[in-house]
Amino acid sequence: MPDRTRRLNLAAAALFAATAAWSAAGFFFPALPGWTMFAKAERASARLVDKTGEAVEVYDLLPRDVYLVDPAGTRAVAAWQCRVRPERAPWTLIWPGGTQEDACAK
Amino acid sequence: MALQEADSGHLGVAAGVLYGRRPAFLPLLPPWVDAVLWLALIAAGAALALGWRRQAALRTATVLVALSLTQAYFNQKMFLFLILASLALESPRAARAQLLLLYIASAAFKLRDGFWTGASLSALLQQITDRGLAPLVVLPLSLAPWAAKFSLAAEAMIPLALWKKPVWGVAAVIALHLGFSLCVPGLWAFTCACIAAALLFLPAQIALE
Repeated sequence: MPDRTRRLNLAAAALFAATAAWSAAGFFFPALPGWTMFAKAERASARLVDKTGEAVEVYDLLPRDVYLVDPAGTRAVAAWQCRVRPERAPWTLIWPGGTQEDACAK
Repeated sequence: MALQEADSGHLGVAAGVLYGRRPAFLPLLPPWVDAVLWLALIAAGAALALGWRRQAALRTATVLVALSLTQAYFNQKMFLFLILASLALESPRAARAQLLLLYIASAAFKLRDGFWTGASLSALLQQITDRGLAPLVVLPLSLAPWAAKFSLAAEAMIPLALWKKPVWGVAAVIALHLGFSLCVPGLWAFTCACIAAALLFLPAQIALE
């Protein structure tokens, strides 16, 4: 087998091995992104309210092909909004049940 | 992928008005860079489809998708990168292995997380309704437990089918992913990537026909 072909095959095999290792790691460390493909999705809708009382749905801060699958994802979006819109802080995250939390705590 | 991102409002991520999951230590490029990336990706895709400088187009597309991943990480974009990179490295075998790994891992995660109950699928369908997204087919919530069981069984069986009966395996991949894309908006790029990777399992003569 020519050297070039062998090098390319080795690189492709290394890429596959890295993907397999990453997938296996995701199985034991759920925080890692892996091939979960909506394996576990929870209701994650919430509303963000700024200091003036103006509200924004967290879903409206996402591209249309991006889905939130757990409250941690919702909190990550809220924390991002805190970083990019600090002039409207404090932001409060309000869950459907009425529970409120400081959106900028994360 | 480029068309899907453009249609889904990803320019808003670069403009700082929409959230994108990305490594915080990497710079967020301005929206015009995204637009150029998409145009270049479309050109590379067209070159691939037309068979024009195929290897150069593959390598270009791989680099472009890698750049795009630094701006927003999504599983479907990562999978597309892995397939493109494997083919750019002239290893269809590695691309086939990536597809098998995807199904095996996805089925394993779904088994671990109890996907078969339908609760996760119900939550996803509810989100689609809450956000006013418009799927081509509305799957009733009452069918979620059955649809979940069916998709888990399909994902578990597809690797074996692709390996032993490639034609049946490819048919199953097409049917499963068309079903996903019809019911869940925003999955067309993933569907195309999976079908393209599945076609690599067919003997060359059948694939050409």
